[in-house]
Amino acid sequence: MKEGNLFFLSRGWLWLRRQARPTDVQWNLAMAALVGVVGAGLGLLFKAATLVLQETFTGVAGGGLAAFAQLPPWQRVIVPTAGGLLAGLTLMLGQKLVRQKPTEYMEAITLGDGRLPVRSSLYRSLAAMLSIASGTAIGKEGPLVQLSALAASMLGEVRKVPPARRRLLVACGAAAGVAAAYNAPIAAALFVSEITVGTLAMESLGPLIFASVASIVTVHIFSDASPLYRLEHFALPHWPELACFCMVGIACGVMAALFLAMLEQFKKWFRKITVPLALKLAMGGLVVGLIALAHPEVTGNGYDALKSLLNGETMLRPGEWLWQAVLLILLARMVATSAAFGSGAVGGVFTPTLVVGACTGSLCWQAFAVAFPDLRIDQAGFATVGMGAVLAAATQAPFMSILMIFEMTLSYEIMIPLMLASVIGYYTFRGFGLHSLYHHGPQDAYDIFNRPLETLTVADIMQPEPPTIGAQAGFGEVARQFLSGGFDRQYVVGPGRKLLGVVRLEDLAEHLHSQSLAAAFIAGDIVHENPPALDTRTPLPEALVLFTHEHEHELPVVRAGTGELAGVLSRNDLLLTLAEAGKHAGPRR
Amino acid sequence: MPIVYLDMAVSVNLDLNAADATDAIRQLASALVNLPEVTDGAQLIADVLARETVLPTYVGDGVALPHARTDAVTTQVVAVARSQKGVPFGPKGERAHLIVLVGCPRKEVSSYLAFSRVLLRRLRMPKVRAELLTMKEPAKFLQLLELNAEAPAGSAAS
Repeated sequence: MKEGNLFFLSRGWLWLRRQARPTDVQWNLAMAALVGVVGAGLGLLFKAATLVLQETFTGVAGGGLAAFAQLPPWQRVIVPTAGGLLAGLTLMLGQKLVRQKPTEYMEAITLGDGRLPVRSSLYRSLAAMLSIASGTAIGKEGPLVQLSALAASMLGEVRKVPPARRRLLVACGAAAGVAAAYNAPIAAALFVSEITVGTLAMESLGPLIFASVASIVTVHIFSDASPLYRLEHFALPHWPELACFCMVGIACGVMAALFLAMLEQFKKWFRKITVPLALKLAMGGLVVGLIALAHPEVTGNGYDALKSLLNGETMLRPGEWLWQAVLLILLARMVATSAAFGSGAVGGVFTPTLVVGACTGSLCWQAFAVAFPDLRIDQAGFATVGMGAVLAAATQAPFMSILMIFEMTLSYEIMIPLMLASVIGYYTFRGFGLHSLYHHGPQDAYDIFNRPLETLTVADIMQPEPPTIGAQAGFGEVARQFLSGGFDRQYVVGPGRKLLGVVRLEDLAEHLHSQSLAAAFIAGDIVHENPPALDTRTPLPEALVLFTHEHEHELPVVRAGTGELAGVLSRNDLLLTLAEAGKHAGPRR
Repeated sequence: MPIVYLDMAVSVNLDLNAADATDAIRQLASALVNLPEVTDGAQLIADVLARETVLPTYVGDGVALPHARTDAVTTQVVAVARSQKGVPFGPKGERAHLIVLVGCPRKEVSSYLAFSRVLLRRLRMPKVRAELLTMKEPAKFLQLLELNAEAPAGSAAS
């Protein structure tokens, strides 16, 4: 009786294990959620550490713009300069100690094949922390995204997942980082989809959304994340006002082009200066510090300046935001961020881009307010639309931009002029023939996802080392392997790992715990001989054809000639790769 | 759980006299070779014998289940035999009194397992085994094994 109970218990356990065995999609979603939580946690840690560091640098509690504004003038110059020097020294030391190909900040979201270098990412994050904490005019979303993506990449390494899935994981890490940095989960998922994955296919978008949601929920547990600005009484624009917003779109497209050209120009200038990196970064910090003498709001990523601009108030001086003041902020911000970024400081330019947009929108409003005294839309409305339009132009990702602004303001009414101006800004920018903020040069074309689709074969994206079993292995052994592993195919191999057949879980599902069968059956009794298989050299489109015919979710891959089992390819991985490869199908610029 | 096996050819021999496992398998399979479902009798015998050499199919309690998936049949075929004296089947010479030979088309893995499992479950019950060893009527013998298919004409000869 006791034995019977035990048998029953083990049956129940096995049943549970079997039911809980995840499919590829379920696995991806679960890992995405995990990555989301970890990414958000790292983001919070990074922010907290940066704040502590900033308080140490400035000696003022609270950090942010307020802290810098309180500093005496000479400190406003010294702190960014010294911070730049420290960050530069960190970078130099890191480069010396860690002989790894460094990852550029912009590359944080170029996912490559999903392998991010751990040590160089870490020292670069430390350098970023020093730059940001010392007030250098640079965004912190870069390191946030990178750290989060790094954690995802390491998870992928540990689980030994195939490239397409590892890359998806890293994309999820990036999405989690963006969601945490901007409190914008929808835009985060779309940001990564639009810019890095380049597709809205559900194979990748689903996990990205999981990661974003997990990330934002984690952030909300540990901090109160409120929207940047809540637009109130925003009236639906009339035709003449829509025309104004069209012009905002054009202005923003032009301004985005100007800003990016400036970033490039400063990069070139700094490249010409032949001094050690630490001094370059110190020089970048010095430029920021000198501007901060008159305009402390140029320090940091500009989030505080953005807030006060949108709220129509100045934190630093009372009174109106006159157009001269806004123009000054715009120019100071562009120069400061270009100097910081050009000097080689590690950081992002995402929030600075938003500041450029808000200033541009605000300037447009001031012009229109003079020309049309009965304009019903206020400065904040125009500034918000301007943010979206410059972002759409600079990133060349209008969907993401529209949604990000929506999530930042939580105002539905703003969507209509926002969509219009963002799309116009996008097209205007394109007219200049410049590379977008997240463009990657040919030097990044080392990974399989940048190779033309025609040259990719099954061997590039398959998962090696699939579960195998000998033809003479007993039924019990087959069942044990199914129950302990998360797979539903075992490949029967002969001498030299030659593929003989496949044992399918669905054939055995009802019988895994049968002791009578364990005595009488072997793998060879239940194998499907000569299963459909892919050749390692099969081009991907051809593989897709076989998948369509076979209705299998994974197919074995064998080496031509020898018939040796080389790996398996899952349909999900194939679809992921094809969806991404699709973005290269169009004409390249 | 009622399971209906369509198109299954069953043969029964209640008084098998075989010297060893090979002999028993030959005799059981020979009862099937003239069935229309068996396209190649020699192949069927060869496949079951080959399978038996890989791992003997003696499952304990005096029961053996020689079987193979084979291209020699178009549908599942079953031959059941009883030997009062017993046939040495196990790896250590254990004697099988109840022997069920199954030949199954290669494609049908799932139904093959389901069928074998039901059969083995019946054969593991001591009460069923005791009744099987004394049962005189072939039809009732098959019923006890839940092989309710009609025994094909001519193959029921003992």
